[in-house]
Amino acid sequence: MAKIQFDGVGKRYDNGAHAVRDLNLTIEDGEFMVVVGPSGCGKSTALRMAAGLEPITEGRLLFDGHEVNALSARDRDVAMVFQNYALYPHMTVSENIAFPLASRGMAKDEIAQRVARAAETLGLTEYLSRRPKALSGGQRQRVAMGRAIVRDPRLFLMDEPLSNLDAKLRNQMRAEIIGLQKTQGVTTLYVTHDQTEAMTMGDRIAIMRGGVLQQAGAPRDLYDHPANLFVAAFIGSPAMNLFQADLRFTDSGPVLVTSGGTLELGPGAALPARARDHDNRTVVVGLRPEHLSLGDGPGPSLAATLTLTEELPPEKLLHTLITAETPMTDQVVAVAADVDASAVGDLAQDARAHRSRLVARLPVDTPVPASGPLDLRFDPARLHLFDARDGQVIR
Amino acid sequence: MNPALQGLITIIVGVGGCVGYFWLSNQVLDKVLFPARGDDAGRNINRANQIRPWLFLFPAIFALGLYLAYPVVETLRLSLTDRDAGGAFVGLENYRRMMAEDTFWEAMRNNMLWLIVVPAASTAIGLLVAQLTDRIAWGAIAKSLIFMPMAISFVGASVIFKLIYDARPAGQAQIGVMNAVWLQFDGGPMSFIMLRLLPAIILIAFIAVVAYVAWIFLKPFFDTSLRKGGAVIQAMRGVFAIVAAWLIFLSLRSLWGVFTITYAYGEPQQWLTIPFWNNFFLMVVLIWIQTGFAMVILSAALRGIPEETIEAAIIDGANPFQIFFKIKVPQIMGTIVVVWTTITLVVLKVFDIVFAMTNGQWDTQVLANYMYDKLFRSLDWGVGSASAMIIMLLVSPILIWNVWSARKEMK
Repeated sequence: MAKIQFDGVGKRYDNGAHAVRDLNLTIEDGEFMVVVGPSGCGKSTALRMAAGLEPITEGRLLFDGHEVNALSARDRDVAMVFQNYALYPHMTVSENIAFPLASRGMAKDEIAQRVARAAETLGLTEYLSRRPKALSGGQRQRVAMGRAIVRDPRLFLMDEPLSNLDAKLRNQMRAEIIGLQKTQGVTTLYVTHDQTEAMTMGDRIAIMRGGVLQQAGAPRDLYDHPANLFVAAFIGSPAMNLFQADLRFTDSGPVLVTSGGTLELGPGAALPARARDHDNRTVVVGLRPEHLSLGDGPGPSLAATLTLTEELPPEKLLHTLITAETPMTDQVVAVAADVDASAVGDLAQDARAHRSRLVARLPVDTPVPASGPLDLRFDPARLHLFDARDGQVIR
Repeated sequence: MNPALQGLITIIVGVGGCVGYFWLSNQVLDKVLFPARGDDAGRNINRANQIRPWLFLFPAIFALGLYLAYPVVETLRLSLTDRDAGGAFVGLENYRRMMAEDTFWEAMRNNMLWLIVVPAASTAIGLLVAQLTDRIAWGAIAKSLIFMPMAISFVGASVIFKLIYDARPAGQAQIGVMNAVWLQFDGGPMSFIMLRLLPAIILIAFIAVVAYVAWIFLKPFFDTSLRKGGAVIQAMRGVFAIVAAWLIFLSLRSLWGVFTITYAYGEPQQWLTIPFWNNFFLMVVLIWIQTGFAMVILSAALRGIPEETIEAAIIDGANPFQIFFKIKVPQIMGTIVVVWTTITLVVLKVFDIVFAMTNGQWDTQVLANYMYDKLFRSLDWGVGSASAMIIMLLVSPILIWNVWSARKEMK
């Protein structure tokens, strides 16, 4: 158990590629830290640097305040769970779990004791004499976990350990890993590309993009207060609705001018303090789907066209289009590209048609017409405003 | 007729014959024997499909039977008859005569030596080279150089090594590398290190390895939980253990000899005439050739090991030796066994090297050369066939083991 600090850590390859830049991140003792980001964001490289599998080329990595940059992987006392489990195929389950102990020269009876305890924790006792080949995916996953928990390492490293499991098993293992981490109390660095996993598992989440840490914080914190457009678009499912507008401060209060019309936010609208600096500038407006509503309530309304309704009790999702420019900043495009190449195409198509997609999340029993025009209301206090040029949130 | 034309005609006739056989036999089957029409169409199709595999197998079975199975039976028969008595049946007389010959036992002993040293050395060196060349920039060049001897025939390699072992009278320039090096030793401290200490260390290492392997083979006799396989496997384990004990005894005797022998410094040596050791000078030729084969196969196997298992082992605290012996080697054990047994089969048939370098003189006889001597020089088909049967008996268990491990791999 240890406190892990990345102090300006960077990774530059011989060919000049910069996989991780100036990473500053502290993982408290016993904390479950999830690093999340699209593929190629440097999260795996960061994890491998922590493991000692990749040399650190810039900055310092500290375990409990001591620099470990020069320490080899075998001396760092970390345990790692690999994406494809990396079980030793020629060893039985018990030999697999015992290997980290045996290679450190522990006494045989203590190894047996510890293996038995780890196997019991993970429900593997009856499979101890089997080879990995004879196990199911979930059981292999458990053996990999067993190999990690059998000794008390200073740090658990997990590299997308659930991505090879089917959805149902993934949910179950997710809960098990959380429980295991809590009872063992071992500092954990968990890497995933799945934001749902990140949101549900992490005490804190660190979001990376292009080798740069975007934001680190508690899941709710990232959800409610994204630091930039990338975090806003990445966290949340369905994703935050984004459209461009010009922010103006008029006598009757602030307004957002879109290509489709003007949204009066009202004189009392609680906008961020620095919003004034962006008077007469283009901003990106962000609205969570659950903050949109139908009907005649208070607050400004958006004229939208309903295109599709998805029912997923207890809620329904309304897919609509509004007349407003779609933000095509590289951060938004990066998030779309992580989903699929076609998502980028859709985004570009929307931008050319001067429209934006808006998804509203409503209770499933809300009466909604099959299609056609709708008025979507929102609470100005729930708005997120981002600088359209650099994508940073306006605070 | 021009030989090239002859070759072309042979190819056309051969390939055409094959195509013709398969096509015609299938036509006969489908159109004449079991035509797919009439009332029995469905049943006929099924019958035809049951017979078809045998049509395809027939040429191979026939050729193997004619050139492999029949000669075995015929050799067995010849080994029980006497040529001088007009081919009369003499029972096991030939075997008795053969066993009474010192040369036969010399060939047996040498063959056993070859059988142990050559596959072990080739596989071990091949594995070492495969592992080491993967980590250096010029590894590909090193590998090609080590693989090259594979392209040289056994006889060609023998000629090369005869030059290496060549001796000229003292005072003349030595053209053989071995003697050129040998004449550098003068009995000083370097000679002690190179000629007494180094061989002693190698011998001790060899004893340790053999003892360890013997222990692995013997372990199931003491630890019932490890006991797997039937009586045959258990018997083979016992035989291996006895062979290992014999090897350890030989090595210990040599260890004594290394320190007590009086070296003939300054005199060029006829290496191939030094009894016992000349066997190893011959084996070097085959090791030199087979190492390349072992290296290529094992190198591919090493690359097939998932990188994650090695990374996991590093994180689990294994040192490079543990990673090599506990993670890498066990994962390619199947390939190692296949390489080992394949080289073993080559070794048991070894003939050309001995024939070309010593022709079995100076205690270097091996079974294949002994058989050749008897069959084609003494024209004694009885003893010659008997020795052929012995070679087959020796090859069979290794073949069985090979098949057994191949099946285990496939499971």
